[in-house]
Amino acid sequence: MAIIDDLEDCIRKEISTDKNIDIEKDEDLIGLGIIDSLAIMKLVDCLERMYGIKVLDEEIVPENFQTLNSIDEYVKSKLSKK
Amino acid sequence: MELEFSEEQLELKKGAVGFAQKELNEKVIQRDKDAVFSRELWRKCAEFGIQGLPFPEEFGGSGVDILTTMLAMEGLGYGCKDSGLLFAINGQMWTVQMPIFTFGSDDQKNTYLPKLCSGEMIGAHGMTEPESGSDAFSLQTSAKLDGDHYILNGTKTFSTNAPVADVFIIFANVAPQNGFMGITAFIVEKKFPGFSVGKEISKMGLKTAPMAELFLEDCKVPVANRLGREGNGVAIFDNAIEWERSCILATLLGAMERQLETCIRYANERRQFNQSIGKFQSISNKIVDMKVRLETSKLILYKVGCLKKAHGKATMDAAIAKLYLSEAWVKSCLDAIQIHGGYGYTTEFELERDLRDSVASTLYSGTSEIQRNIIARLLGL
Repeated sequence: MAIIDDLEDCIRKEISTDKNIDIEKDEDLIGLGIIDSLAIMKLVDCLERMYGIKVLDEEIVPENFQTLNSIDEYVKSKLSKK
Repeated sequence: MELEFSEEQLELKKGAVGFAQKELNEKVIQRDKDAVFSRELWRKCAEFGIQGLPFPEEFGGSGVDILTTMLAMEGLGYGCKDSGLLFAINGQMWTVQMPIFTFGSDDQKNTYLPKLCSGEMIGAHGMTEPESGSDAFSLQTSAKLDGDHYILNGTKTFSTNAPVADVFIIFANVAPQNGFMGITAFIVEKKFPGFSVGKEISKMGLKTAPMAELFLEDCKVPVANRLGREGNGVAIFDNAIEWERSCILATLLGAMERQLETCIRYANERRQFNQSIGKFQSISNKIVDMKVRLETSKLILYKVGCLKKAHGKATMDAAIAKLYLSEAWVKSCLDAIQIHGGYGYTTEFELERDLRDSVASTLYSGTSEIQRNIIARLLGL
């Protein structure tokens, strides 16, 4: 499964209160309230577990977490530096 | 989890106990009554090295690890009866110094950390607003970029140290359309145009830790004083508050131990019905409960220390520690008063002050209700 599909699955199962939610790849996860301030900590935990990466606090900014596409790009960039 | 402390660590704790007993307890009843913050005691703590404990030597600190810091704070809490002073110091260390150290530029670290470690400067934190307490990230304070400055507008409340502080970490939203991800941290000096501190807020306990509102009216903050990146505020706040939840409680451990010893001594000395009151199970059971709370609190808190030392983060365990220790502290304060009967209710016996101070612990750094919400969410509920 592609990273972006894994991410959608993770958000649906572990983050969102709506377990059947469909998330568009460019949908604003923050603006729509799918990710709130506590959910982002859970998402960081998911990313670290799923991909063995270390998400630094200074990387928790909108550019990296606004949409599925931006999270996907962020994870790929972290994996490329491993 | 390794809980064997080295001789060096235990010596530091012992030194903190001795320092606090000798230097920090004079006229504490009167200072509490008058709600007086002591800059002199603040400086003494800095000279002893408290404010610099976990920060590197290049910034005027000692560079010790989190467990060693916890032990020193525990010793301080055991020796010092002025919980307000310790609360104020903890507030600065974890919500001002630690964010600057973790997220600050070299210039920011060099400008502020040495003076905060040495006691020359006092720091305060501005997150809570009149309309956003537990829902902290719904804050309304705005920051708009204007050339080489940000213009901040808003009001902060419950800012510990504010009346005496020189520098403030202020959270404001630079992009409200991004919700909580627009929140950004700034280092604001009290001399910045448009910044002012309101009158001191009177409160139930922790009276020697002054608190006030902050007003930002077209406050000009240089871009160089933005802490971290735009939108990084939530991570900065969460990082700081996790440190605070982890370490502010260590002073409570020391206070709980001191209070337990006071109660044991009193229960053995005080005689009623021709025997010491400690022989009555209604008294001894309370003391046993206090001991059990103390020991479980130690284990929970040291676990947080071990986790943070190993992994850097301990979100769930820090919330558990905050919830458990603060509520244990309130219960033990109530038990201590009950054990002392009418004397426990008097100012002279200093237990009523502990109780007033303890109630704050279930409110600051996130209320008990918020800790339960965090734990529930992390459990997947």
